Amino acid sequence: MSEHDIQFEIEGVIQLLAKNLYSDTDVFLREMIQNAKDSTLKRKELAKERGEGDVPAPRIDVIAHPEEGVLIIEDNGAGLTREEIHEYLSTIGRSGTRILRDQLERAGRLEAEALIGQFGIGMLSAFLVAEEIELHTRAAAAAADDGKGEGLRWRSSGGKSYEVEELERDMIGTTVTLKLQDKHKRYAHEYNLSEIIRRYADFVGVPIHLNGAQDPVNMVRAPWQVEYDSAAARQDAHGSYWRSRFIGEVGLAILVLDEAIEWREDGELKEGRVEGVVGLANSRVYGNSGTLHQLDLYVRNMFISSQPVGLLPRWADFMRGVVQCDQLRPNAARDGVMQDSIVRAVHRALDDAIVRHLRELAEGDQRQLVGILRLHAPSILPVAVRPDQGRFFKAIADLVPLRTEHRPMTMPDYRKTAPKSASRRHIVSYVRDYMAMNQYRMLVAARKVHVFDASEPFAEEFLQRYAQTYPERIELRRLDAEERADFLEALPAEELLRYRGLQTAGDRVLKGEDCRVEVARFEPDELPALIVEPRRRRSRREMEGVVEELGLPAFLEGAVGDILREEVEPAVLYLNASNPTIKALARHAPCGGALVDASFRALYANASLLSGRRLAENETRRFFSHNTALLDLLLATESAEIEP
Amino acid sequence: MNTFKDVDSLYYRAVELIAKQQFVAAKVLFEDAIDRVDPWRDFVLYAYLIHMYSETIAVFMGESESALAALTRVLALGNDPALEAELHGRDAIYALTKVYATFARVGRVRNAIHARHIIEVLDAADALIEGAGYSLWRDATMEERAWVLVDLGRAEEGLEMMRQAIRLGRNNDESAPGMQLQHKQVQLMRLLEDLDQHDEGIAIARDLLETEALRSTLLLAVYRSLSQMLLQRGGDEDHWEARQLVEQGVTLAQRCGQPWQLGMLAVHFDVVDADSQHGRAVFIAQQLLDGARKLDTDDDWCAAYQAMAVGHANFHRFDKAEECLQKAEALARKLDANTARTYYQDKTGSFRARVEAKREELP
Repeated sequence: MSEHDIQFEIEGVIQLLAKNLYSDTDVFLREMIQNAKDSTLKRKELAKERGEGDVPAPRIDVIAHPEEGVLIIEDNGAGLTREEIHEYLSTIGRSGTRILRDQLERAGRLEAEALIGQFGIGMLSAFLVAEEIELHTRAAAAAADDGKGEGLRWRSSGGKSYEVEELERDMIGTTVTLKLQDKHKRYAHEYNLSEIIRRYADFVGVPIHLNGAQDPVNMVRAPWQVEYDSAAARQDAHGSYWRSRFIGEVGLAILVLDEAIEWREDGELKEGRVEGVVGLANSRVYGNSGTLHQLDLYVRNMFISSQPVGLLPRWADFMRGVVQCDQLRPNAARDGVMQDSIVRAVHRALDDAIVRHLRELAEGDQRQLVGILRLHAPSILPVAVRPDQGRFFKAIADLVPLRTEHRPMTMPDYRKTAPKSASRRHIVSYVRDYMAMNQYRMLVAARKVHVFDASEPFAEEFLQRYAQTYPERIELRRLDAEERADFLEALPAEELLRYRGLQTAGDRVLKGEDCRVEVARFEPDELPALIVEPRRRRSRREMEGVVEELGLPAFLEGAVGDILREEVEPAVLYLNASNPTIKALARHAPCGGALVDASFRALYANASLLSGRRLAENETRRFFSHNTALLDLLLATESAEIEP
Repeated sequence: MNTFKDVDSLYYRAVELIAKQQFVAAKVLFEDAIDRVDPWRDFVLYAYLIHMYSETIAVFMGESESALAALTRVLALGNDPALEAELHGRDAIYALTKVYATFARVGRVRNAIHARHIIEVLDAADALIEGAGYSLWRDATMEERAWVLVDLGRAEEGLEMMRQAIRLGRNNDESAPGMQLQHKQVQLMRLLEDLDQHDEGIAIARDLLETEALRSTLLLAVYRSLSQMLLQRGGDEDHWEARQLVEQGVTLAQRCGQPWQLGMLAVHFDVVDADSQHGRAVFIAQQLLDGARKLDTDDDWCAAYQAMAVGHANFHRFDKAEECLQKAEALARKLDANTARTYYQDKTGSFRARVEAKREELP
């Protein structure tokens, strides 16, 4: 046995790796598997060079011993010679893979592209989770050269030194045994391992057998790397794969990607491909970074990230998928890619493909798509209204349903029943204040139209953008605008004059409510009155209610006094000139009297109730007494009529 | 189902809706929850719900006046002799401290209440907190008091008070009613920005940017203040950095939700205007105006009219610019009326100067 110095202090390096390079300890398994896979490739290369034909099929085994906290990764690759151990395992930054890749590139072999272990730090990443690593190996090179069947054992506890000794070993290849740190013993559990292997090494090209299972735990080859007899078979295979990858998702509208990409580098036009499968998800799951999407990115068959920066269009939060682009350049930690012109090319390709696909879906059966878009409206709306997202807006403008008083509707649905203006455009009505919806429901039902509820974030901007983008299609009308009431028809001057007495009497009676009266015409006729209340006036009413009900401690008097001193616009009670009750009241109003006063108060109370606004306790009591007073008056009148 | 479970479920659903930016729906659920609680029987739960509800409607919906009415109700109840027996426990003091601090914050942020009257409320809060033996929790009121002191023209006292709040806050754990320490540091940065002490403000902002796991809304405040201070410092590199920060801030604000965008848009406007991107500047000013229309708060309207004025001036529409400036000036007077300083008027004055400068550029 011989003891050697590692050329860098491993403990420090490990800390450096953990802190600065690897954001997730799971990656150690990716590195282990990548090493194993590279080793199987190397064995194949060596066999070719030597003209050997009898190389066993590549295989990787992962064996877990949860009780002991031990994890074993074994491959039947090329193994390591003593020199290679000293050269590669013990010197940070020098990687056998890189040297091999350089050799392969010089030789012009396509396999070079399959190697991404280019940083020479893969093995050391095992110290992120292990307290001791023991490696048994028998090199194919050694076996062929001297025929002695020499095996070697390398062992390190992550300190400055390591041991190497000879070992009897029949099998060519490498077995790495990790003694896991206590806090990382979860890596010896089959469920965790299966999930990590599936994520990191699904397409690694070599079957990975977990705990000796006959079937590999990984896919081995990505569905886009397989030849199919027909387009339908290809679509089916991708769909099955998507569903197996995103369990629990319905996976509506699964899109098979096979897009060419182009970018410029050093003045030269370069080409590549992005392949994969993405689908519209039926659920919303927030990721760690606050983003929703999950796009598992692979480069040269190795998993890089599930939320790669810059690849998926920002509006596509609702997409989930798996893509591969071998031209992308992983960063040193291989948990992201370099933000370069290739990323932008992939972004453009994905953007184009998804928008194209949405359009195709829109031409077919839209129902399910519309449902999904409704679910994802919180992601879609803010992006759709951005000035730089015109193309996306157009792609989804007619597909995103917004809430109405009835059920969510798309713009084309809405336009089917919308009235037209003088300029032949559809009139699209909306309210911004959800609380006002109750009142407007009756108004729009009378006109047999619907009203959009634009209280959800960015819904109003979406409607405005629609009107700007398609000015020939719609005219927007906001119903609850304080400055304008589109649902009201102004009375001609001479008719208005006839209602002057009604208006004056109403103003007098309701002055105490901080409400003025106006007369107009609106549908339905049976609705006698509507109230439009500015927000600040509503707040004022709430504060007055508190003061009246509870009184104020001394320290609040100044503060509340400031609030109550501020001038606010009064509410407006609109009386309907088409309503028989209002017509009758108009005849009595100029004469005044208790019945007229009580009628105004009751109209005010009813309109307030209809508006759906929250009532303070004092208001509830007041409305109750107003209505009771009206009943008393009516009963007294009737009693007077029936008494002899 | 019992009432507590109902309320609990409504509360969590409301919080979930806030995360999804469904503020109106969250408000409705909070109202439903509040209606189910009898404050005379369960004052603590009632106070806590009102605190959450008020923050939601004031911050996300601009309904500061309604929030103040709801908070006033709790403070009035909290001083009712009939509830005295309920007000000695830790939970009650905790909930009330939050309500007092929220009242002060909403009142001062929207300038609805004169600063000296907010001090009266904070004095009452401190008496309660001290009297109950929770002196450490005074960091919650100190943070608000710092701002009010600045509003009363006592800038240095205000700064010292904020620093004291930070020192006190360090002794508190996460279960204290005051805002977290990072929030206080952000407030100190904003005070320094407000008082034009930009070198220290920039240094704190840079430290905050280095902080791990800074909450998105706080990070947004840092982007906004730092970019504003850099712009005002005015070096070439400062301008470049401000532009980068604004780009990041605008993206983050979009994820945080619509109400967070307005503050960021105001700085975005300044950056774009300084780059002479006149069309884009008008577009941003229009967004500010739309946002102000939606939240309908005086400070948002004021910022929108200031930007609109410069936007019009860029296209030589000086009559429109003047109209906007006059509206902004009227609002600024109103906003400053409850303080002893002229912050909004000075700011509007700087926009008037920008408009005048553009007029003078004309041949």
